Amino acid sequence: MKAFDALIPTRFMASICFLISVMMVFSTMADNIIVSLPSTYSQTSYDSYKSSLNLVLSLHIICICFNLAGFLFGFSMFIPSHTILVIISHTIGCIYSCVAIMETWHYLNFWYIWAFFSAPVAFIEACIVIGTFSLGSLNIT
Amino acid sequence: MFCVHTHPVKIRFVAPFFSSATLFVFLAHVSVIIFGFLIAYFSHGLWLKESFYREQPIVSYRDQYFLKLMGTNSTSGKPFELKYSSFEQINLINNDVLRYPDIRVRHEDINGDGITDQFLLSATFPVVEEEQVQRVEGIFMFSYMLRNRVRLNVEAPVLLSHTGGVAGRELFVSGSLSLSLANALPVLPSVRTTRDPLFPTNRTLSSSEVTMTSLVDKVAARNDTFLLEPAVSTWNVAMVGCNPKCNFVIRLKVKIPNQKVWYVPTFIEVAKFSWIQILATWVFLYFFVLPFIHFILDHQIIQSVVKHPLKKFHRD
Repeated sequence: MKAFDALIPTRFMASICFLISVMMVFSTMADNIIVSLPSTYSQTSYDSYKSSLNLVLSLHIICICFNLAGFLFGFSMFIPSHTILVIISHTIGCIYSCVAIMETWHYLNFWYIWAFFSAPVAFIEACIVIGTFSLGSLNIT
Repeated sequence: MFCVHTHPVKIRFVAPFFSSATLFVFLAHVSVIIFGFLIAYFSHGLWLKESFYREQPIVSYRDQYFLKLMGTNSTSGKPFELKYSSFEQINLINNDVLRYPDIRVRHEDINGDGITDQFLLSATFPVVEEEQVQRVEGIFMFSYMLRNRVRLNVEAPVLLSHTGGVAGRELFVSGSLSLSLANALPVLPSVRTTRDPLFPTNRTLSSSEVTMTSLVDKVAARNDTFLLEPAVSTWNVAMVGCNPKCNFVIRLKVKIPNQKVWYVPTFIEVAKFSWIQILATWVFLYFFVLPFIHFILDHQIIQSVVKHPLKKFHRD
C-alpha cells in the first residue's frame, strides 16, 4: 500500500522524538521537582518526588522501546490503524513532554503523559506481539 | 498542451454512523476544539483583566490648599511652624501659627486645543529674616476629569514635601500630574466622583482630622491617587539682609500630559479578545489535523466509501 511510504517513517520519527524528549527530562528533572515542592522543603520529600519521577521516566522509556521493538521486528509494522494510533500518541506525548520541560511543569504531569500517550499504545503493542505468537501474523500483506 | 481551465473536485467520503471512520473524524474535530481552548486558556491572558488607553485629562485648579512651613528661629534657636489653608476650619485651629500667603495661579493652553496644558502656581509667604525655613509641606487641590471611556470627575490633591539641608527662600517644583491607580477603573455609564472629599463643605471636621498627617494619610488610602511624576525641584538658600521685605516663595509648575488610563474592559471587549485567541489556536491546529484526516481517508487506512464526482468520466 502506498500509505505505508509515509506511515512507517512517520511512526519511526514520532517514536524516536518521544524517546529523545523523555531522555531530555533526566537533565532538567531538578527544576520539575522543585516547582512541585513548597518554598521550604526537606530533602526527604525531594528524594521521594525524585524517585517517583525516575520511576515514571523509566516506565516511559520501557514503553517506547517496547513499541519501537515491536515496530522494527515487524510485529506491527504493517498494521495501519495501530501505526496511526502510535503516531498520534507519540507525537502529542512528545509535544507535551517538551512543553513540560520548557514551562517546568509539575512532575506529576509526566505520570499523566505516560498514562495517556505512552502506556495505552504499549499495551496494544503487547497484545499484537502476543497475538502474533498465538494467532499468526496480524500484518496486512 | 495548454491548461485551459481549472477547478477543484469535491470528493465525499461516506461511512455509516456507527463506524470507525465516523468516530475518527468526530474525535479529530472535537479534540481540535477542546485542545484549542485549553492551549488558549493555559497560555494565560485569555480573559482580558485590564487594558489602557490614552487621554489628556481636563484639569482645573480648585483654589483649595493647605501649606505648612517649618524651620528654626535663628534668634531664639527654637523650631517654628507657619500654616495657612483655604479651609477655614484648619485656620481656626492653627490660629497662633497662621501666616497669610499671596497665592497666584496661571493656567496655560500651549497647543491651543482648549485643554489646559500646565499650571503655574506661586505662594509667597512674608517672613522675617530670623525665620529660617527648612521644610515645606503642602496640598494643592485640582479637579481631574476624564471623559472618553472612563468617566471620572474627582478631586486631585497634589502633595508637596521638600526638605532643604540649609535654610531657604524659594522652593521650585516642576512635574507632570499623573494618575496612579491601585485598581483599574471600571467603565460605567455614571461619572465616578470622590465620595469623601478632603475638605468637605457639608460637615465640620474634628481637630484630629485636619492635621497634615491625617490629610496625607487619607489621600494615600485612596484608589485614585495623583503624583507629580516625574518631578524636579530646586531650593534656593536665604539671602542675608532682606529685612523688612523677606519672603518665602513656593513655585509649582504642574504639567498635564496625556494620561495612560488603566480600565477594566467591558464584556464585549473581553469576549472579542478571547474569541480571536481561540480561533487563532484552532486555525493553527487545523493546519496539521486537516491534512492528517485527508491522508487517513484518502489512503483508506480507516475504511470509508469514496464518492468521486467524476468517476463516470474517469478511466483507470
